Amino acid sequence: MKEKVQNIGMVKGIWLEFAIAAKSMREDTGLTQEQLGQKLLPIATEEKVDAWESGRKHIPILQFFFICFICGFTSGKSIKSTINKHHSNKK
Amino acid sequence: MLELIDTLLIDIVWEWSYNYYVWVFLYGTLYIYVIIFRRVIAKTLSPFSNFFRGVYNNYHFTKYEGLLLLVYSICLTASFIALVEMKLYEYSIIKSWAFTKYALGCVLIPATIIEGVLILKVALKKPVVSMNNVSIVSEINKRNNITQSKDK
Repeated sequence: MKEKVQNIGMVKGIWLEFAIAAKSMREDTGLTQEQLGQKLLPIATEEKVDAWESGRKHIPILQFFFICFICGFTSGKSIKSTINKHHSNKK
Repeated sequence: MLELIDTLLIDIVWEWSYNYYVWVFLYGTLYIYVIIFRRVIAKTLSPFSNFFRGVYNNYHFTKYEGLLLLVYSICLTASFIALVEMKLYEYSIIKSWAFTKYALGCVLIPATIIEGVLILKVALKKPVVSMNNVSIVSEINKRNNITQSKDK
């Protein structure tokens, strides 16, 4: 029954949008899949996070909201330091 | 656009008395729908406008939008609890509406303030993207992973 519901086009569309949003948020924060997985509760492996982001597995709603919370409160300092390191390495 | 419609219809909705929270709940789901399905809406409207084509091609879901989604979901949950409570009160199943009276305001007021701040942050933030519309940070992380694996 659950699989039948999940195969309806509109439901697939919802999960796809969640997957795209989760990937975009993670990249915006500058975290790797492994780093994000370590911060989730329960901890998710890199393969699981990759499966969620590619749409192969449906991301649980609570985990999605947890990702929103983690990415939202991860400071941009990690991104800036990564970019600054990249520029200094180039020089 | 949604805020404008909400503001215009508020006087009509106030007259619904107990059913006011039905409107609050349904409108909350509409806000969440628009955030989640922004890409799909832009894709549908892209044949008609260059603006929507640009939105679709440069789609980027920022972390602040994720937080906004979380805030709206919390507000939606609180609105749903208020709706259920008011309906139970309307049909005399319960004698008081304590959550709506005391707790709903405590949830919605800070949520509204946080929502305003987040909308400003979303409006002012530039996404960190390269010319190929790929996140610079993810490119850097990929290169770092490649160099680390080579070192090993």
